[in-house]
Amino acid sequence: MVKNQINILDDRSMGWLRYLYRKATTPDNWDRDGQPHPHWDELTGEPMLSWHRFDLVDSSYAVALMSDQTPAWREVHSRILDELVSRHTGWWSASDWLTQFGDDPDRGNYPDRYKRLIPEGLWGEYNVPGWTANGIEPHGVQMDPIAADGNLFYKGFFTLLIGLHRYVSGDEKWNKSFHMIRDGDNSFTWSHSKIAQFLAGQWNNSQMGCHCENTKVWPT
Amino acid sequence: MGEAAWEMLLAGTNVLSGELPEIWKEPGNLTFLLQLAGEHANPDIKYKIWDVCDELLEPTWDYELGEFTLGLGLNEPHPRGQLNARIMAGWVCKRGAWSSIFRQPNFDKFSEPTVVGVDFPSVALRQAYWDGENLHLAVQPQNNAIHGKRTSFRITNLDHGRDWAIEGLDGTLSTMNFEGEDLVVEIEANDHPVVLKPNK
Repeated sequence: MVKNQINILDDRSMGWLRYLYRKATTPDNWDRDGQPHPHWDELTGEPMLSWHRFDLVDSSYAVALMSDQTPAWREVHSRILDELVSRHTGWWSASDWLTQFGDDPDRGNYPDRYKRLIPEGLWGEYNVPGWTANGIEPHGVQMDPIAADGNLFYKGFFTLLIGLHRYVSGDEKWNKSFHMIRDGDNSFTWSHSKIAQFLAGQWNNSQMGCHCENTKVWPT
Repeated sequence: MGEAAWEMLLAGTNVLSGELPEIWKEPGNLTFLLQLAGEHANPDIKYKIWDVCDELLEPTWDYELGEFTLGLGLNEPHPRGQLNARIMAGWVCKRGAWSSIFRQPNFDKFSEPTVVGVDFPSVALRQAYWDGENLHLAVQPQNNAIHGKRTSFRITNLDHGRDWAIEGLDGTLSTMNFEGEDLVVEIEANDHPVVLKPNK
């Protein structure tokens, strides 16, 4: 059967693909002793999204969509997605979780623009969304950003990112064991399926749902 | 539910009047609108929205590199990553295409003829799909200096027991031969659609 499918990517799409390829394949180092290249966005969406990893995840959307329009040519899209996933295994992908311990010591000095994010009556005594509060009760310090009780937004978007890589490339590379964070004792072994199973277990075992930042739960 | 939310959002922006309220000109809000428009708006509505918003996006070309980004009026050394990424996801997204990845994923592509070994970024394929019998391609050059130059790539998953011919409406010349299981094609990078067909 001949499928009726007329897909031609326009100039802007092709231009974005080229830019993103150059961005994703420019070498940098996301380990703790490295530093992401400044073209990775850590500014947008402060205080909740202003972390490099959100640029990785957001960048995957157009790549997956474009590859679905040229399903007979996906090698460049696969390469870009592989670069995005690879960076998401580094320390810098979880730099919020790995540095924001306990209550925010600065929460008495938040700017007024945070008021829409803080429950009325708790101004000055409440951690703004985006402060991950690793170690806060009831969980204690948990250095593995995936095995942690909280940090839903980290592991949820990461499974999506790996899933898009697999969907576009067909490559099971990230479903084999890989090391994350890689910072001395804080090195953790995961695979795509293990992350997904772990996350599913967290959802099944918690009526309220998983904490995103610790003590902050999206209603289900 | 998503469609209803989109309709409410669209009405709230009043963007179809041709004038975007100030609050929606903020880059984060603009990004939200344009990303959702890709998934939810029909093509006419989508392009009306883009017509209103385009100037605010500061579309930017590097013609030598063949790259397109959005400055968003931010005057920053690098295109703002999250905003560019989400806006461009909206740009490339046809209505329902994002949800289709999850509801109707295309797994046939893994066994269908596939192009590999493209000399990217010098050339790219703006069209590459298998219609069940023929492979449709269009080879886009990175810039004017490359336009018309010959390039080669391989096609995998093709029935090598058949004879294949490339047909271009413009008489595009191309050569090809099987190397092992793959068909090696040499073709001009001229942006013209061509079709790889089996000889009957």
